[in-house]
Amino acid sequence: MFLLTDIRALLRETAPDHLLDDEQKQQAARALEKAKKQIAILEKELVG
Amino acid sequence: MKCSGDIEVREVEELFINIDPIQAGGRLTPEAMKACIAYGDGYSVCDYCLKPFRLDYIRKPPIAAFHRDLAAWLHMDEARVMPGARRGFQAVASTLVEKGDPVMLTALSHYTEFVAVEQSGGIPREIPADEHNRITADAAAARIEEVLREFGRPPGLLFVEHVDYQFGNIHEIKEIARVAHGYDVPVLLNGAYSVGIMEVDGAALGVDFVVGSGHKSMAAPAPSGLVATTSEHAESVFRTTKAKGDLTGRTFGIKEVELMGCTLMGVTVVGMMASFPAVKERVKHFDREIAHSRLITDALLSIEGTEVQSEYPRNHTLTRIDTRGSFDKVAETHKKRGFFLQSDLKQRGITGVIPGSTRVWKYNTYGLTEAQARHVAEAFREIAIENGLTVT
Repeated sequence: MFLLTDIRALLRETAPDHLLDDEQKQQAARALEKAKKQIAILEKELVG
Repeated sequence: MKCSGDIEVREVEELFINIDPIQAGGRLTPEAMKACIAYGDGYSVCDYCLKPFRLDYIRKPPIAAFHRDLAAWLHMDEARVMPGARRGFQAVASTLVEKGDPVMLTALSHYTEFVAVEQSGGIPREIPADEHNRITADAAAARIEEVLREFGRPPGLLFVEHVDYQFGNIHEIKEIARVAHGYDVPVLLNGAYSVGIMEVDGAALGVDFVVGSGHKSMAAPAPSGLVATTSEHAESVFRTTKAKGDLTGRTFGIKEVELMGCTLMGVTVVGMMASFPAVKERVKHFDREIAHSRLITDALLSIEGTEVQSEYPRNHTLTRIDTRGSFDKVAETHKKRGFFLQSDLKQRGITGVIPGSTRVWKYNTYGLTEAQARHVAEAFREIAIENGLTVT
């Protein structure tokens, strides 16, 4: 949820067009990558 | 998407640039959003509430240290978190004002200051604003003299807005405080639009109380705020209860009367705390905010017929603009009438102007990025040109 909050902050900073600069794109990519890993862990632990 | 039942997800801040006059300074930092997720449960900060069982003594999360930091940041001796600035006004007025006491407010005071005075039985007397909508020390002195003649004693308290909610003007606080103290009148600084927005030094301003709003200007959830004061006044405003049950003999420790014991017991205080490092930093960059405010105000003023009612050039991000000679002329014949402006802004991803407003209205540019400020400035000009107004 914290990682998605970081994405949310990026959406706010770049409203209304959400045209991310290179640094913001990197930030988004890092957060999404980490979020995917966390979801994979949750899937493994909760769903099996 | 819905949170639950009929409660829709709020996505105003993600989809639009929001220039609502009261919402700008209270937008949460990402840190506060995370704190809200973690501390959403009711009494969430009370896990480690140990003797003497009071909010400002809790060390985990570090609420005790936060109180000390707040006081130091404002250059005052003691601080308490409150459920909004209005509860700060209430606590101070309830302590200092007796029934029938005159209390000095200003022509630009917020209604909650009047209500706080009313609750305590005080009699409000206002300092008039000058032709530039500013409260001056000379006007304060003249009004205190009038009160002396009318009541035979000076006011019990003087409220003054650091930055007023009507025009976003900055007033001569230091000079007003000096005048008030000449009559032994304590001064409460209403910092609802300054604490958390710009640097505030209560000692340098010479005020007795600094009241701030967490949800208006400190990137915190509502209702939150603070009262900071000097050692001299802390003893009375933060006095502890002496109540005792006549049957049970119970007493209630060191709960503070005006605070009704503890104030912010969960997400509000933790939200304030989580945003605090960013807030301390952002007040140092108020010049950047002023630049954005001026950019947008100047764009509006480039539209023929538009006037600014706030002091100019702008020294704050909250501005009152008069578009009776521009956008309101368009509204007279536009098929959407007065709603065209809000509608045209929304099409450009901008919100926060009251629907239907084309006469006198307010906006707040606080917290916009450079790109967002330029986008808003350009949008106003484009809308004006598209609707046949002259833009210079």
